[in-house]
Amino acid sequence: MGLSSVVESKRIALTMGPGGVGKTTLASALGLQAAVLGRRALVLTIDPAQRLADALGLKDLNPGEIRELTVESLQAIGIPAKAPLHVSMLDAEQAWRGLIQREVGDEGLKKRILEHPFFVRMTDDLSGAREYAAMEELYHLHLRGGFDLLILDTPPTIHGMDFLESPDRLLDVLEQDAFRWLMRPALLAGRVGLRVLNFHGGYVVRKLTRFTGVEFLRQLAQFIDLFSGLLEGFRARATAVKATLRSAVTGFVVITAADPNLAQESAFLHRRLLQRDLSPEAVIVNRMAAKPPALPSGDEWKAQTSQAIGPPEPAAWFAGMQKAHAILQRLAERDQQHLESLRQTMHSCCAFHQVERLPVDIHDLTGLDRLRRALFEENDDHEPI
Amino acid sequence: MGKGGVGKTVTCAAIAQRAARAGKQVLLAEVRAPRRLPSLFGLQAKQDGPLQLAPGIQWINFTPQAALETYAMRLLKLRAVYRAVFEQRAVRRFLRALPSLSELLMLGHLVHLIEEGPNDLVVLDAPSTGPGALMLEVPQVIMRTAPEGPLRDGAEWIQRLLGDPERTTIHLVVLPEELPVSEAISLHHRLRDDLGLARGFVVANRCLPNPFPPGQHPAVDDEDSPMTEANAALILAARSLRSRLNLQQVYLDRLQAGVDQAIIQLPEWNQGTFGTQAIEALADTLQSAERGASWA
Repeated sequence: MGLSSVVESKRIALTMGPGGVGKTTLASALGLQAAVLGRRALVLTIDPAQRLADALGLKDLNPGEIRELTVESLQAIGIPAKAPLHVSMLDAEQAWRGLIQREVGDEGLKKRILEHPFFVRMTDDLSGAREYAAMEELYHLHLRGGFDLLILDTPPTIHGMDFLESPDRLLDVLEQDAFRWLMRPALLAGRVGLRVLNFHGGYVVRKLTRFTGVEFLRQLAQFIDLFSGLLEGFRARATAVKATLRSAVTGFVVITAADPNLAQESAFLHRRLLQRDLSPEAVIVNRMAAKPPALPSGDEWKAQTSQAIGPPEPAAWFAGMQKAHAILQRLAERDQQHLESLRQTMHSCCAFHQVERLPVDIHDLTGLDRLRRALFEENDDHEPI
Repeated sequence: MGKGGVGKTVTCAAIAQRAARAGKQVLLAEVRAPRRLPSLFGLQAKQDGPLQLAPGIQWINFTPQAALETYAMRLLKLRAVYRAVFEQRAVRRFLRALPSLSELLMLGHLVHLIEEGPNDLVVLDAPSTGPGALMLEVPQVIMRTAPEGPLRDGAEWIQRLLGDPERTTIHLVVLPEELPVSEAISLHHRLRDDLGLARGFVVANRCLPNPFPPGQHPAVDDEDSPMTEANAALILAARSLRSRLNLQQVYLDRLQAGVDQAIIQLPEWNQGTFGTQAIEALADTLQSAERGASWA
């Protein structure tokens, strides 16, 4: 249980959570810890914002490239690594191209799919396409071997769980018999323009074309038809991926922040994970406001201090400093309250880790190592709940 | 528009409140939201609206389904035909799977309400940065890629309203932090340079208040100045807040340098939830920050 066990013994780790809570950076910190423990890790993101490259200070990391940060280079900046760290960013279109290249044997079909006007649109528009690509890539790397730990930073989605559900949704759409029955015969035969079609589907299609236009539906039907032979393989792999994710080799880490909006979303995600028998190993509550040091008790110190802080305007500055302390105190209490309610919502057995808000965002390995130490060395006394 | 969790919803409520105070009839709209706005006004919504939230403020939650119904009914005229076509499970699932179609439909529903409704102002709480920009981009993408037909006509109709600076303005909401600021700046460029949409103001939400007198004081600003046991906690807290304020200023300056709009700062709230009082207070701030701009 807990982050340590994810990094020490899992083969796959998935970081999940709402956008903007530091998922990518924390995923990288997990990878760095694996490297320190001597495990070869790959941190994989599918992120158009390229946050991974930014967090590591790798401005020249190209999409699709697997970059190795060698043991020597990590040690040179004071990180006690015993294995290299690998990082990679993917974009969805590229992942789909790779998938089609791998899975389609027939060169003609391959070409027709890749060149179809709907292909590029599908890779970033069809819901679930991005998540499906991420899963395929993860599974492909898992089967290929070569890494001790694969860390997938899942794309932020509006409803937390989309990442695991969406491959099914994508396949449902492409596969639906009803849909194909509806579209194919009429559209592929180019008979939509006919006034009367002798089956029910024709009627629906005709009405639908008033809405989308004939050409749009025709291209779409053609595209779905190109895919129809591949769906069985896709479906089988989606099932295999899900089995792997449910098995003991995989650990889920939920990342959130002490913010009521985000906490709600994360609690929802946590519940959905449990519903699917995917119990998360750890929850990281990131960016907690730090509690200011406690003031002395009594009132005596006040008179001393307001004198002692000296010019200019000691009284005004003393008052300002008191307000400053009160502001920090309130922020810390508020975050603590949010954390408590989050704990209560997620009343299952998993480790809670909190990370204090860092004064600056992380842009290099040195900063990332500070975060790693905060997580794994200074924060060992986390209580399981 | 802005990143998730920066306070878009409450800002929208404040803009609506501000306009309603000026005697305008306002429609406050969410997109596929968990009906957050009514609860800000202390109401419970059992449906997606319309619902009167406050005097002069109507609320609605756009869903692809309702939008489809409005739009499709206009094309198909007969409800029976609509049912036969769009209530087919296959068709519904298919439409749900293509976000750009859903977005187009919802924008179409919005434009329909703007052009035919009684409202003086429609305030839309857009989805977060990525999906939000995608939504605004959809009409142009469809105009570029869809074959000629009703889809493209619909997209052109929507774009005429969105692209008209007299009628549509986009406000950004941001936190004075690194990632939200850099996202806001790139969103700003995307709106201005790629999409050609008019931008209003930028709200920097949850700014920490500065409790210090103007100028500097050695006890706070000089790291080496001596502390005693009695004042160490106070001075350390003051230095810590000072460094957060300095960082906040760095991001506010970066934001100001990156966008060509006025920035309105809203204070950090210590309550986690927002009530009508908070909305009123934000509306006050907006009102006093407004300098004869024509956005409301």
